[in-house]
Amino acid sequence: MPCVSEPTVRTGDPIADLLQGGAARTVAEAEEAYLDAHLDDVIALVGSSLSDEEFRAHPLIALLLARGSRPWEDSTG
Amino acid sequence: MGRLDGLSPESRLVQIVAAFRATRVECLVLGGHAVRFYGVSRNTIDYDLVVSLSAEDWARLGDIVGSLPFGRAPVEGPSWRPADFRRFTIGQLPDGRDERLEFWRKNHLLAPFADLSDRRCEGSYGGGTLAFLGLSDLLRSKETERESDWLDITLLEEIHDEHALRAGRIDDLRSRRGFERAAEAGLLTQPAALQAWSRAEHPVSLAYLQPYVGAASATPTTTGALAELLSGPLRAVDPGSARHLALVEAVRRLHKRQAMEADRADKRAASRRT
Repeated sequence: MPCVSEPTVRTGDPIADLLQGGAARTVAEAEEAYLDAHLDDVIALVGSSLSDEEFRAHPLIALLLARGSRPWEDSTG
Repeated sequence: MGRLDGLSPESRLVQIVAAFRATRVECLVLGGHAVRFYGVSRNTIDYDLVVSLSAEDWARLGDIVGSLPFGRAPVEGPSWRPADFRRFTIGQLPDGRDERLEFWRKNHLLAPFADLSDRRCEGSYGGGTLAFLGLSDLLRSKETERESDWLDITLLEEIHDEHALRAGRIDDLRSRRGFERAAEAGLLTQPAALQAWSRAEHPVSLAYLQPYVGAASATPTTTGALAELLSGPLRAVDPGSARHLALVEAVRRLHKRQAMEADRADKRAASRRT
């Protein structure tokens, strides 16, 4: 019986892999799981030599900030 | 007092609270109706109250609820911690779901009733005046194992920060929106941040303030990974930078994870006691 948490084909996109493997039911759930599992990588990136622009554009950081507390311009009312 | 059926849920809540106060039971509204009171638009089918009752009076809560003029006799439901929490089905919604009245006497997320009462917020709701948990206490009460409570927290934090900033307070900032408004208003100077730091308690608030105070701040009272972030990387990043905001979100996630685990542990302990 195949393991539901391991996709048989990897897509190269960790969020898609979590969905395809059945580890998450929705994109939001997959993104949350991915971020929670990679906080150490976030901290490592904070200490890296990336420029501010590169740091902000890194997929993990972009996802973290997009799913975190909303910035002023995204807020309602 | 008339019957409590045929009213909107908000008006029904007003009548329920009035009926309780008439029996000299002090209570504060929490849960979904409190979330709605503070401005978050969301549905709720439960009435949640925290009550000030001795163990003896808590034991006769069923009699008190039974004396209220609901459309049908309330039915007490199961509770995994009957010494602290009791729930009653008091009616049925048009879609067939049960309408529930739930009572907390205490739990690990609620301060003693006298403190909650001191910090309560009274306001218009459902055509009457009700006393709700203060916003900080409501936020704390939502730090449970349930994801849906954390969605409420996300929205309530923005409202909480609006209130705090109107009062010129930066010691309890919780949202990025509040943080950015505080920065834009020039409230985050180092002297102000230092003062705020000495009063701040919540890890997210400490994380927003930390880069402004740097090494001048005392060692945080938090422990483990949170303390390491606060006394390490957060002292070194530029205030308001993407690195700062990323670390705040890391702190938020770590705090949520710890709070969810603490709530699960509390529920397990309560279940073992019953």
